Amino acid sequence: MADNSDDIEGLEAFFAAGRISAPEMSDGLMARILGDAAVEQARIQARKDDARAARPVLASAARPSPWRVLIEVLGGRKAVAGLLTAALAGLWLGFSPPQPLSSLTQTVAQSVLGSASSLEGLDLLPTLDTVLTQG
Amino acid sequence: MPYDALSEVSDDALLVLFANGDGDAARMLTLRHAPRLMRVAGRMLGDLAEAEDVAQETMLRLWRIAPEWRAGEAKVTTWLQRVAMNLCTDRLRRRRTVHIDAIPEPEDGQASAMDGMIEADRSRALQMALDQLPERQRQAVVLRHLEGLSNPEIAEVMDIGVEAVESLTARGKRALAAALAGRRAELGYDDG
Repeated sequence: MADNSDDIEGLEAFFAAGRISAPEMSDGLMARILGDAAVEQARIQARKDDARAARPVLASAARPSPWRVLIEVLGGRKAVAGLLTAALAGLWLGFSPPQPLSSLTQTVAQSVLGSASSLEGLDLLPTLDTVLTQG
Repeated sequence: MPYDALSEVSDDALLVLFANGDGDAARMLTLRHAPRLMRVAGRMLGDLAEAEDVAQETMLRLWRIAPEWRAGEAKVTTWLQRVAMNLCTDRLRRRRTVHIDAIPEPEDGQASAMDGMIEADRSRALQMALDQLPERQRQAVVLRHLEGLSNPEIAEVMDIGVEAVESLTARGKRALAAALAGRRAELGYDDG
């Protein structure tokens, strides 16, 4: 409700008259406003349709490569980096083992083979020889 | 959603429905807000045809902003009032600069011999007095005393502080009282 607590010289009587005979919305104005609304709704829908039509193209453009899929399957970039590091380290140790590792290998071989100083000629499955010779 | 059920739906939700193509939401928003816009613009401009244009343009801006409307950031009512007031101000400025000679002068003796004057005549006298107020005072008085908005609400609509609203309203009422002082006897208010 309008404030009439501080009425100055009977102004509230004029305000009351103003409220009673306030301009009202005509049917014509209602129709015009709703007409605008329909036009704008059609525009909004058209924009949504355009966006929807453009979406499949964007989706195919953004399809991940096989490499990316593989990386994801293996657990992400960090996991793949760890795997690669381990594989490279294994290769390096295989082709060019460091001196302490060679000594260790030799020590283990001597303790197993007794006086043999080399691993060459070592028969890891001697019992199979009999089976093989008997056919 | 059935139309009747929309009467309980908030303005924010109605805007979402509108943006999703619900025609009933547009009708509900129009019924809820356009009458007040029409009244306020009518009082600000003193011209029904212009007031209708302002109400239509204001609602059109609401339709256009509907897809981007952020619920809870602003009240739809306040936003609409602000837009309507700005449109009224634009029109009043154009009127002053371009059509200053087209403003009709009050007719002499228009309100004389008004024993038993009907409310519409009193309202017309109020409108003539309102037309003489500076825009900001007119806005504050119309929103406060004809539309019943609170001072904080008016402050939001006019983008000023509450104290400024109080000052504008007080000055506007004093000016109105002065403008109407000579008419009160004619309008039958001195009798009681």
